[in-house]
Amino acid sequence: MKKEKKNECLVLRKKVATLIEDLTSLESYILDLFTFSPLPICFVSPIGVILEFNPAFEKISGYKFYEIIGEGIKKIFDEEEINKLIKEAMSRKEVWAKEMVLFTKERKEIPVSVFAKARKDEKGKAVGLFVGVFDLTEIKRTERELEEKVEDLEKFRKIAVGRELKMMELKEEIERLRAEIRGEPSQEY
Amino acid sequence: MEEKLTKELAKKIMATKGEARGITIKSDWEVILREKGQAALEKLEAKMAELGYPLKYREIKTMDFYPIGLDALSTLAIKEVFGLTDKEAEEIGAKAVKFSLFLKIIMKYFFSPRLLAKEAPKMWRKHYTVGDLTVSEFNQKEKYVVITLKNLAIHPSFCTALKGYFARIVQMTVGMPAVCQETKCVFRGDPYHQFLIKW
Repeated sequence: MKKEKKNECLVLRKKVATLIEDLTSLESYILDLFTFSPLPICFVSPIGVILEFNPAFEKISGYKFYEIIGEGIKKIFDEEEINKLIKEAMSRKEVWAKEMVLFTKERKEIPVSVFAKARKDEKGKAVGLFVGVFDLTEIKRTERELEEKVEDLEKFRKIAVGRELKMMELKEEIERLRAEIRGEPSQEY
Repeated sequence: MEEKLTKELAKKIMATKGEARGITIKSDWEVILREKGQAALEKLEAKMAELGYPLKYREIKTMDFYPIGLDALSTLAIKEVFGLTDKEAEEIGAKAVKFSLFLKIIMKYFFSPRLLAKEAPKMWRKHYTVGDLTVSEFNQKEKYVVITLKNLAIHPSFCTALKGYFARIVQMTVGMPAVCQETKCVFRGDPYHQFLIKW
């Protein structure tokens, strides 16, 4: 009986050890994935406190992980806008590609597209949200350049069309003068 | 006068019954690694070996169970190796919260101070197999909470680290600065520890 109990205990210990090994691997996997992601991702509590912040977010915002954890997300987004987004994500569970401005540590403004998804507990209650951002700086710059090019083309078109009209006018004038010289009756073009 | 961390003291602390999850040690060491660098971490590892309880940062499993004395010993070693004041040691405890993935996994309690107060005993048990933590008072209007910790006496430095830890958890829950004061302590002759956290 005593031996049986001892064996049972040993089996249980082995099971616990295996579970801990698995948890450790899982934790390491989550950390590696979160750290690797080239996209800035953070995890925010329902009241807007930053609980997790990946290296890509450190890079875009200028804040170090240990400086920003425990701080409000309003530090990097407009308070009113981010509160609205939190509310939306917590109730609708997801916000997709919302254009916002991210404020860096040096208060530089970066246009970003924000994605947010609520994390739910085992009862389905939203207990926080993942927030990911996509830097729109390059896209906005390309957009601006394209707009400028379109403007230039428009100016060119106006100039080119104006020139064409002038040419047509001059051509008509020449024809009229030629007719006059030849003593032909003038024609209206 | 601060008691010097000797092999004898280490042995006495290690004799404390009970276990702590690896995260309680690893998150403190993570602060050292991030703030002071690899060489500082190696100093800490060397100190633990010198005390007769070798421990390597990379080998600490956050979810595993370690003797609770090892957690207290690590706190004391950090304080001694880096010559920290009580306030600075408290700050290590506070910063450790930021590095605790374990805390973030159970962060569903970071919803409201009321919920946190309700779930605090469970959170304690997830970290330590000994000590009984209860919330004796919670006043959202006056913005304070009183935590009582019974049946645990390791070392005063352990209480210091807990102060930082408790304050930061409350701060992360309410979204504003919080301060913690140990109003009762078994090392000052009280029957239990009591912490007052205000925000």
